[in-house]
This record gives sequence, C-alpha cells and structure tokens, in this order.
Amino acid sequence: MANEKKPNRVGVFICHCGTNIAGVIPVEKVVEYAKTLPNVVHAENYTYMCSTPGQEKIRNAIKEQNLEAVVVAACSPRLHEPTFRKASAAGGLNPFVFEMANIREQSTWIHMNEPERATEKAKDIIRMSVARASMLEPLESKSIPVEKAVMVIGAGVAGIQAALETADSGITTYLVERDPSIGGNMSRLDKTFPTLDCSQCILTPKMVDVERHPNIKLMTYSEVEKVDGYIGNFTVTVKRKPRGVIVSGDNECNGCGDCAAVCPVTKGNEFDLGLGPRKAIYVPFPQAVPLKYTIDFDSCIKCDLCVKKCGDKKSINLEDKGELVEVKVGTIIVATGFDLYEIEKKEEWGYGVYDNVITGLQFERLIGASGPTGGKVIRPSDGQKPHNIAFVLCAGSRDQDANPYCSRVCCMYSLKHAHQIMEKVPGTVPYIFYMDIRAFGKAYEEFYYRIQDEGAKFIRGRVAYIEENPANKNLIVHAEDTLLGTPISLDAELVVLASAIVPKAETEPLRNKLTISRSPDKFLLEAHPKLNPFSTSTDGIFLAGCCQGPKDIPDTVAQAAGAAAAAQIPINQGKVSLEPIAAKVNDDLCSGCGVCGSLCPYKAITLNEIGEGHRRADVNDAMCKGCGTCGAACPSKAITMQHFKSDQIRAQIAALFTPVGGV
Amino acid sequence: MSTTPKMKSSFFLGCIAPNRYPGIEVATIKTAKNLGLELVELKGAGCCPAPGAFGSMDLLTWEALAARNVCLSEQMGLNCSVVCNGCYKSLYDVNEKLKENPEEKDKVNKILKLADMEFQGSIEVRHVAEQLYNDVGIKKIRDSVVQPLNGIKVGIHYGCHLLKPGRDRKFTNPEAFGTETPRFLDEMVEALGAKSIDYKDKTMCCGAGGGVRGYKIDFALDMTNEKLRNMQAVGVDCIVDVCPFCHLQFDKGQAEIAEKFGDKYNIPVLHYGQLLGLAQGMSPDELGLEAHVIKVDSLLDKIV
Amino acid sequence: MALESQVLNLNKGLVNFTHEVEKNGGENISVCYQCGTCTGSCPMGRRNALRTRKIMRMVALGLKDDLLKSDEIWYCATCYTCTDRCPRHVKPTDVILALRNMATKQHLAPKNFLANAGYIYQSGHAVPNNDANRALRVKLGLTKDPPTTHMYPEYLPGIQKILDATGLMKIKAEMEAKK
Repeated sequence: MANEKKPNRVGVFICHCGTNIAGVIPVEKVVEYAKTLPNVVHAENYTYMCSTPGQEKIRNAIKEQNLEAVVVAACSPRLHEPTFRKASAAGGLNPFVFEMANIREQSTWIHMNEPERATEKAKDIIRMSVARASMLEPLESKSIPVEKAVMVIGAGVAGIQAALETADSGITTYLVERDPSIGGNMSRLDKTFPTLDCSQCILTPKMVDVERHPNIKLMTYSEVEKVDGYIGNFTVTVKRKPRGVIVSGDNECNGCGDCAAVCPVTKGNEFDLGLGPRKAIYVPFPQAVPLKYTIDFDSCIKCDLCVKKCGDKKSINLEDKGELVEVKVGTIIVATGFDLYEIEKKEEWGYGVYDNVITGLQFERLIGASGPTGGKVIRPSDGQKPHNIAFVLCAGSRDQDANPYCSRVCCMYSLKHAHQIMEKVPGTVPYIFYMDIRAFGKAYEEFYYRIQDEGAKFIRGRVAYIEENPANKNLIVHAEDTLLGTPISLDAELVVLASAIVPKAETEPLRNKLTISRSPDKFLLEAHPKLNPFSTSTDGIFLAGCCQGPKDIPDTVAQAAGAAAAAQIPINQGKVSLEPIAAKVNDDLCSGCGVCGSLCPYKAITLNEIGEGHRRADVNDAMCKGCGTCGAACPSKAITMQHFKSDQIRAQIAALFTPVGGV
Repeated sequence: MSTTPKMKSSFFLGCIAPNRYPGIEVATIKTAKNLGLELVELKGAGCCPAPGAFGSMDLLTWEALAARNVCLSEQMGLNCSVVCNGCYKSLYDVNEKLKENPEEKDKVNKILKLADMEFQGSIEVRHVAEQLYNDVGIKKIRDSVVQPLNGIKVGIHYGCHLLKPGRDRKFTNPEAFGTETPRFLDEMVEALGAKSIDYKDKTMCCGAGGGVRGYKIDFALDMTNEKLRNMQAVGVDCIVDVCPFCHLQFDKGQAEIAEKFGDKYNIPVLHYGQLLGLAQGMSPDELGLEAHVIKVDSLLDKIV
Repeated sequence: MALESQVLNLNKGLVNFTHEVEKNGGENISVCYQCGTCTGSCPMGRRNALRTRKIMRMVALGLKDDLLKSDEIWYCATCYTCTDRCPRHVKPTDVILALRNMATKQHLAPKNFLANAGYIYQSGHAVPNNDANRALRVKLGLTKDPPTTHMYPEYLPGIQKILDATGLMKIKAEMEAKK
C-alpha cells in the first residue's frame, strides 16, 4: 500500500534527567546532532523533561514550530510515555504521534563507564526514534461500555469480603463457590491468632450478610465452566452442579435434616478432612450458608429414603442434572484460596502411614468445638488424649524438594495450637520444632512471647525423620537441637505437621479459562509484586487472598478490599478506553485462512462467515494486546499492526544501519 | 539410543566378592544365567576404587580409576553390571558425571591417556539387583524358583549407595527404589517364597563405609550392632544384602562384635544372589555359604 | 596467669572457603540455613562426636585449619542420608569428602587410607586375593584368581601410572618418610 503521506515535522526534546543522562553524555552536543537529522525541525534539551516546565516546552514548541510529531529522549517509556503523550495532546497533537527514545536505561545507565560509546549509542537511538516518529500516524482510542456487574470466584473470607464491598457499592455481584457452602478454610478454624477470636464467630456475620445482601447473587455448589470476552464485557458460563436439592423458590429446602437422618450411606466429611462422617445427603457444617442440603451423587445409591422422608416438602430431586447459566459481568475477582500440600510425599515424616501423624488443619478440626470430636484432641489410633504433642514447622515449606517458599502462617498457627492445647488440657506439653519463628504481624511477636511464657517447649531443629513405635503407635521424633549442638529424640504421642499451603488444584484449569498467569511457585501472578498485588496483567481480572500467595486473614481481607476497589473502577467509570495499539485487518486482502486466529494467544480473532463459505478475520479491539503474532504470520499481509506498521519498523532499522547527520 | 544388548553385560567384580566371598560371584553369575541375563567376564579390572576408603583422599584419582574400569567395559561394547553398592557408586556416578560434564571428562581423559585409555561415555552402569527387578521382572524370578523358601523371615539390608542420594539416581520406578521406604528388594525376596520383615531403622547404614571400618572400627561395629539388635528383636532368620562390603560387615562383623562388645547374634548373612541361588535349587556348597563366618545351617534347616 | 580468650575472632575465617569447597564437590554449601536435618539424620552422630551441621557451619565461617585438623571429619560413613534429606540441596557428605581431600594434601589423612592406595598400587585391589580364598575359588569352580589385574597383571602399570600422575603416591611416600 503506497503511503504518500509527507513525513511528520519532528521535534526532539533531550532530557538531562539530572545527572543520570547529562552526567555521562554531552547533551548539548547531542541536541546539535539531532538538529541535523532528516525531518527534525526543532531540538532542545532540559534538565527534567517530565517536570511541569519540561512539559510546557513540548506544548510551546508544538505550537510555535508547527510540529507534527514529538520525540522525547529520556528514560523508559514504562515510566513516562503516558506523561509525554498527555503533554503532546495538551499541545494539540494526537497522543500517538509521540515516540520515546530511551537513552537512560538503554545507554547512560548501563554504559556509564564508557561515555563516548554511550554518546554514540544515544545518537543511534535518537536517530531511530526520529525515523519512526516521522512516520507515525494519529490513532483514536475507542471506548466500550462496561457491564455493571462483578463476579467473585471463590467464597472464602477473601471472596466474601470482596463481594460485600462491591455489593455495598451498589454493584450486582455474582459470588460463585464450588463447595456446597461459603466460608472456605477460615470456617474450618477454631480460633484465630493472635487475638484468639473464635473464627466462626467473626466470619458467620459476614456469611449471613452475604446471604441476605440484595446485590449478591450467591451461586454455591457451582463452578466456572467457560469465560469469554474482555474487560467490561465478560460472559461467564457457570455450571451449577447437580445438587439434588431445591435451594430457592417453591419447595425450597428448609435445612431440617430429616433426610440425612435416614440416609444409609456414610462417607468421610471433606470439611473435617476425613476425620468425621457425613451422609450422602449432607450439610458440610452446622453454620453453612446457605443452609441447604446437598447430595453427593458419586455416593448416593438412589434408595429414595430421603425423598420419602422429605415428603410433601418435595425439596429433593434425584434426577437433578444441574444446569449451565450464562452471566455477564464487567470485572472478575479470583479468590480461590488454598489447600495443604500433599505432605505424604515427604515420606520421612510418615503422614498417611503412621496413625498419629496429622496436619495442622486436622488439628483445627479436632480442637474446634463444632468438630468431629466435639473439641477433644485425641489420637487417631486409640482415641486417647496425648500427653505431649510435637509440632513440626516448615513441613514441606522452604524445601527445594517440596515448596521452596515460606507458607507464612504456620509459625503463628502452631504457636496458637500450642497455646490451645496447654489451655484445654493442662499438663499436655507442646514441643515446637522450628528453624525460625516468623512472627511478623501486628501483635504477633507479643503472641510468641506469650506462648513461650505459658510454657511451650521450643527446639530449634528441623525434624529429620519420624519413627513409629509399633507397640503403642507413639512417634519417635528425630532432630538436632542446633542450639545445643546435640542430636535429640522425642517420644511424642501425637505429631502435627504444619504442612505447606499451595493454591487449590482447581485454580490451574480456572486460570487457563481466564487467561491469567501464575508465578513459578504456582500461585496466581499479580500485576506488580509491590505496587499492585491485587490485579493481574489481564485487564479486568483481579486477585484476592491465598490464591495469589500465602497470607494470614488480615492481609487477605485487606487485599480483598483492594481488589474490590480496583474491580469497581471500570464499572463506576461506565466505560473502558482501549489502547489503539491493535491489529487491523484489511478486508480486501484477507482470504479467511484462519492462521491468525489459530495463533492469537488472547483469543482475540474470530473468523466470520461472509456468505458462500468465505470467511474474514475479525479482531476484537478490546482483547487484542497488539503482540504482532498475527501480523507476522498473515500470508496475505492483510494485517497491519497499528502504531507498529512494517514501514515504521523498517524505517527504524534503516536509520540504525545508515547513519545520517553530522556531529 | 543404546546399542548395547539388554540382557548381556560385562561383570565388574570389585574386591570383596572375588577376593573374600567368591560365593557371591558364583551365585550371581549362575542365577542371572538362569534368568536370561548373561554376565560376561571383564578382563583387567581393579578396585572400583572404594568410594569412601579411596575417594576420601583424592576425588580426581578416584574418577580416573573408576573411568578406567568403565573403559574396559566400553571396549567390549557392553553395559557394565556390578554386584556391590560401593562399586555402583564409583562406576555409576563417575560414568554419569563424565557423560554430563565435558570439562571433567577432558580432565580425566588426560590422565587416562597414561594408561592408553579414553573414556567415551558409551555404556550404562547397572547393579545386578536392579537389572533383575527391572529387566528380568518379578514374575520370571518367581517362576525360576524350584525350592520355595518356606516363609523364612528375612531382614533386608538395602545398603546406602545404591539408592542415595535419590536426587542423583534415575530409576524408572522411584516408588520401589525410594530412599525412605524402598520396596524392590522386599518384592524380590518375597518372590522366592520368603517373608521380608520390617525392623526398626531398616534403611540405616551398616557403618562400614567411608573408610570408617578401617579407621575407627568400633564406630562401624557399633552401628552394625544396632542393626543386628533391631533385626533380632523382630526375629529374622537371616540377613539379605546386595553389597559385599555390607555383607562382610554383617558376617565377619558379628564375630568382631562378639569379641569386642560381647553381643552374640548368630544370624546368617546372604547376598541376594545366594538367596536366589538357594531358591533356584543350588546347593549351599555351590554358593560358597560354607565359607561364611556365621554358619548358615540353622537357616538351611528352615528352608528344606 | 591471665585466662585465655574464649572469643572466636571471625576475621580469622577464610572469606572464600565456601567457594573452594563448592568447587571440590560441596555444592550449595553457601545456602545452608543450619536446620540440623543432617545431624538429625546422621547415624554416626548418635554414637560419636560427628556433628554434620556444625561442620557445615565451620565451612561457612571459613575455619579451614580447624576443619582439616579435626578428627571428626573422618567419622562419616558416607551413608548419604543427610545429602538425601537436605532441604536446601547442600551435599554435606560431599563437603566432608572435599575436606578430607584437602586434609590429605596436607598429609593429615589417617594411615589406613593411604595404605589402601598402596594395595591398589601393588595389586590393583584395595582388598587383594589370598591363598585361603584361592582354594575356595577353585572349589567353587572359579579360576583361582579373578579375571582382574590379578589374572591379567599387564593392566597394572596403567593403574600405577594413574596413581603416580595425580600425586597421591607422592603424598603417601612423604608421609611414610616423616615417620
């Protein structure tokens, strides 16, 4: 396509950036060089281009010199491209005829010991930017409307908090939870550190608020099946799993429990981590929200006893096949939480082989009054009370053979467990085997002091291996007391492994449906580890809670509120502006071969039928990230990448290899 | 892709088996043959050299001597089979290291040149016990039994260098060859009609390695004594090992322990090859059992 | 008389000792976080003065001289349980072998180790054949000597050249001369 457009009149502004640039290269000389470049009609320098006077200079020069494009030679575009685009716009130019030449990160910072070569490189970079700027074209940002609804995936304390925040703001919030009840892992806890609040007591009010909230559409026993769309316009297909029980409307289950009483099938209760039973028709725990029964069709034998018992209420439907529901939302918050690492893989500690080795979460269920033993901590092998308990910290954490990271909460909850057992069963001795005690939060170190004061025993040594005494099923814990420098053994009647926390297994398929990334440690990847831990790099999708990394309840709730605030912004603005750096299909040249669509990593290209078996590629501007894959692959050269057109890039490359200009 | 034959290897003997317990040598060759695994004579081998007793002094010399032994098998175009955990560590570890690290290989080859040899990295090193489990298979082992072992109680001693460190081993079935609860020898012993009995600290070292038997024999024997005590507590009829050095430590060691510490056990010690030989109908004399320090008569009475 | 200072002055530690140990097989020693899993696993540590973790600590502090002169580094049976279980992938066994190698260069290895080198030099085997065993071999239908360097002594010079080339036999000779 012949482009007979005249090259732009380019203005070049070279920043000193204090001494970051000017301390290495002679900026005035580079300005003189810039003046000799083709199409440059104006060049100047200033100490801080990003400052208000600096931006003034751009605005003034545009007007006075009739500039048609601006080049700022300074720092990285990641820092100030938006600043200078706005400045150019303020001067009357389209913000996309602006080009940034990074002569700081890419020259003076990294070659600071070779000023002559840094100067030549800066000249090269500026020359290339000028060549490109002379060919840039104005582009218009599009806006798309935003669906006024939010979806929160996962209803543990993170999801609950986020949903309450968006709902309180007046936004319709779909809260999707795969378990029969909301509450997540926090509802399994007995007490929370360091205040020793009863976990259920502080969580249940929020759970009830969720159930009652007019703006929250609660979808329990449901999973996300499919996600289409983009920020402002997500279409999520939610699978309502077959519950077998009617949860709303006519014949709604009233939670009376008559059905469970007659059900002949008993299984391990997942909520109690297998320590207690439930029926095939069940409620996971007494404070469940919603308080509706659920049938586990994998174990239901369809004997009909429950149906008969339910009688006229007719709340049970054994033929329930579930259903797919399509929901349109503007933004999504992922709050899928954590599971414990499969600690049986660390064979040296005998979990799953020795009866009296349990995990920290199992200990919570035992010591909680609403748990399977009514609050009695007893040994699985004989139901007896243990007179001493070994707590094994860093079990599967900080371990190159398991999870290299620290799971953050286990030091604190093990201190809590030690306190609880000493309080509940005076005389029981807790032995805490640790490498470090990480008591980082508010009142956490004081809590550590308290537990030491109350008499817990601390051994600084990672547990090397555990044996079982076959006669009484006691455990023999082997470690080194590193502070004494002596190998030690301890006869323990119960061992509690503070197992590492890992993201829930279902997070992996879910994140692929959402096209969000994960970090090497398998937790979901935040947009920025310091400045934006509650967003992802996928616009419109946010993160809350342990799915993003191990954290305690205060940090979870804070992050959830942050995610909720961020998720509301596009909805409150009502529209989302799309950067026009996207692929554009020339309908005349497109042959409908589909190569682009098959390669697009963002699922942004669809092939539309235009009659008689012909197809044409259609790029969704909102989902396109301008990566260029389609443009490079198109065999008909029908796709141009806006703002990165082939001739613009060629001009840059040519400018590099054919130096022009003097000085 | 390996061009070396699968069921035929050169047989690296080491030192203790041929020079102190030749019954292990005979048993291994004959029982392997019965199972279709041909172990061919390897000429000119020497000490592996002992990874602890020798490697402690100089690792480069250790690598060079081990590589020389591997070269002998390379020259035959055959994989190299060992019958000893110590030899396994020397030959397998050095073979893998030189294959993966060209710089180290060059360093060693400069020394090997003096012996007119050059390490190629063309073969694999295997332990016969592992070959029996993986290449022959439990079913075939079970089918070769003509004298089932009548449920005798066996205390299996896995030894150390075959399995550890797990990170440096590439067995195709890590569950059976795990370092905390290995099962492959238990299966191989039970396939013969014997019963493998678990005992306290089953995976513990015998104590002989690292040169400790030579330098501080009391430390080594104290460890062996602990293992014997644990095995006796569960009433084993015999100990079965896959390493002639562990074998020596348990066999001769019981006499040394009786003398030094006064503890007497009288538990017969067999290398797996010898147990397999008994199950395949070979006579105790054929298997060199008469030469053991701890007499095996009590055990043989239980089998017939 | 004044009392001797009990203070360990850290400046006397060799700053780059961890690198030296890492180069000689003791990989990852710098990331040891002193958890004690090694000592907790060590069967020798339960019955003698071997404290594996403490040796790692001394390496980290660069206390080379104290380590090479110590007796404890020779107590390890190289069972590799510590290396197998170390959560930071330190190889304490190989650290100890590296220390033993350095000690040998300084003529500090116990004599029985050097004796093994002597046997291999003479016969190719650290545990050479003997007449009682030869009789047993023949009885079992084997050759009286195994087909190793015993039966094929022409392979022995190659072994001797290797042992001479790396300097080990020189160390042995020097140690014996000193007696």
